[in-house]
Amino acid sequence: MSQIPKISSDNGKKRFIFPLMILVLAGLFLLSISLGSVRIPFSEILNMLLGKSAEKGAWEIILFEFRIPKAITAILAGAALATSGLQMQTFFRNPLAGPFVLGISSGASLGVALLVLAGGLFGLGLTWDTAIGPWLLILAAVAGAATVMSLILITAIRIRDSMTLLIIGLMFGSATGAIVSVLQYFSDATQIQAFLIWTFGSLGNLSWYQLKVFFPVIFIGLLLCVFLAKPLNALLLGESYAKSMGMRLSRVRIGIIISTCLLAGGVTAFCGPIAFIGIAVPHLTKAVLPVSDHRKLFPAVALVGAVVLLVCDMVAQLPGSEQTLPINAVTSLVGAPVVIWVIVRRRTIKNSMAL
Amino acid sequence: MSISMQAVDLEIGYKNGKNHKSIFSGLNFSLLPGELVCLVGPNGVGKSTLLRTLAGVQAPLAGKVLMDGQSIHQLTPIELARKISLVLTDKINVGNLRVHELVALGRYPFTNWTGHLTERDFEVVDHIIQLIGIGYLANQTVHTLSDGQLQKVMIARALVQDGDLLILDEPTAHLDIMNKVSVMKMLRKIAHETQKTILLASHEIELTLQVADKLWLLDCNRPFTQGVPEDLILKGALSAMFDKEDFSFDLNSGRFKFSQPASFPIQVQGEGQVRAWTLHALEKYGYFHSEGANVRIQYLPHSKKWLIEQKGQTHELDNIESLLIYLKHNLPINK
Repeated sequence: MSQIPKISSDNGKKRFIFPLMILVLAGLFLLSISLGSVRIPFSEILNMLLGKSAEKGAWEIILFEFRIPKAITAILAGAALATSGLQMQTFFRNPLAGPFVLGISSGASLGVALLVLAGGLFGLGLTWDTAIGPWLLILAAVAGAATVMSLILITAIRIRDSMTLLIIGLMFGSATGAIVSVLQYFSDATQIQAFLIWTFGSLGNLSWYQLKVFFPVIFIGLLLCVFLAKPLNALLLGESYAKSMGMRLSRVRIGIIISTCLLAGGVTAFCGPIAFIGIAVPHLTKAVLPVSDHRKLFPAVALVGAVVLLVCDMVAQLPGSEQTLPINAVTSLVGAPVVIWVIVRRRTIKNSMAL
Repeated sequence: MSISMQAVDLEIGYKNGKNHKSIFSGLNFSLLPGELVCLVGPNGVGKSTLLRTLAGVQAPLAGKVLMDGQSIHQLTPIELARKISLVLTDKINVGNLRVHELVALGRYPFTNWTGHLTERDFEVVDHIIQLIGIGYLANQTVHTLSDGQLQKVMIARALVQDGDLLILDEPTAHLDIMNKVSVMKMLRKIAHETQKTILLASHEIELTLQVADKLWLLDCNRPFTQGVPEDLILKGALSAMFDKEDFSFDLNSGRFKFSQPASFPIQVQGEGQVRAWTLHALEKYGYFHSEGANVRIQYLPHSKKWLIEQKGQTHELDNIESLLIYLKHNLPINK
């Protein structure tokens, strides 16, 4: 009888990848909170983390009120965007899918645009300088994301074909983008500027108080992934096969939509539309860790997403300078080459789009 | 005798609002354990609709499909998945998935909500991988497989699902002739060894005649016919179905023949393979065999040449090609 190779996908190398990634993430977290426009010695950072008081009181405020919340936000947002991208790529069987492609981020932008620009037209003058401003902003973004999501959900029930659904998602994105342009045309300069700053994206807007809302939203979204891993594995074979194995497509579809709305909508609301993390990180992860099992992919993609966004944030800080780049510009600089690489590797855009 | 699936007064077709488009009605049949049944019929006749109805994917317009006394259209998706597994023509793209992982996906209806594979699941997967003979592929990634290997892996995945009935839609499409034969033979072996029922739709009629325990014939404007292939041939059901203008079903060989206008009689003497293939070539060009024809062709085994005799004149030719050229110049057929 022929020797059957031991069935196990874990070879020696892969076993160390998860602990390694967690170590890298922890290291980057420490590095991230040590860097900034104000120079704080690393020993002081460690001291403060261990509960000892620092030489200067201001350092404690900088560390605990600004740098740590920002690093946590980067980790949560990176993990959230990357996992929602993975869900969509598997669900739509399309390597170029992501929260942006489906128009969810555009929906969130539309919500914010309506609030900031249209609000200006009616003389409400809402910006995030006011106390209530940030909360309205969040509400508007989530409502916008949820609106586009619901439209896609309604379409998804009537149209079974994932490819068609994706094209409809693109159209929703274009339509919401157009409405934003029209709104901008009728708005005055201050409002347009306020809106543009939001579209640059920022990880530094969250206080501990806002993190208390942000964290559970992202946590629930990530928790849903645990339940989605098994059906997404089946969906690797396509909808017909997955259904023939007993998967309830409508249930899984709703699960993915809720999870994505919480993850992508939540991040967009709090940090602005951060591009390319959702689409690029799953590909980067699969290049490092060649697995297809979503029970391994989800944690790996979440970790890589957190690492990538932390690094992007550090680059955006331009260490040693007072200047800060928009985070969206940095993630695009990282993400665009990855997307080009995916298309080039598959030779044609047609192969990338239609699997 | 036990029955794995039974159709009672089944009517298949499409429901679109109030419009019922019936394709076949009054279908009554049983599928038995250990049987390989091949569904044969022209494109567009409703083979897919029938398969989809029997797979529980599409509801019947009337009647029932029963398994273990229950209507399959009333089962939950998981219950259905434990009874019937499918091999489809859908193209799959599974990235880095390895063969054993793909096969193990078939345990979906048995695993818990995390998809955790138990010892028992691994045993089933191992057993099927051995049965299909794809152990040597187990650790390969799926995208490195050839079409023939992939089809065997997909069949393994369906078997791991462990239902009583396995339905395959054109399992040998896109395969070369070696793989077509090997997949069909394998399916026959699986049906007989595991006592599962295998139902497959195919356009490979000549091949299905050799492997099928039963044939189902589906044709426009004809009643659904089923039976052992040889019975159907003798009853003329196959020739009735495939007697078209351009080709016909040859009752003697069980093969299809292009219908050629036979317009010039030639007597082909001798016997055996050389005569058969000589005739085969001549028929393609409109000559037909007739005893006592004016032109006679004979193969000379000693000189390995073909002798053609006409009005007392003889010519010797080296091969069929030169024979055909000779005929073309000297005995042209008026079109």
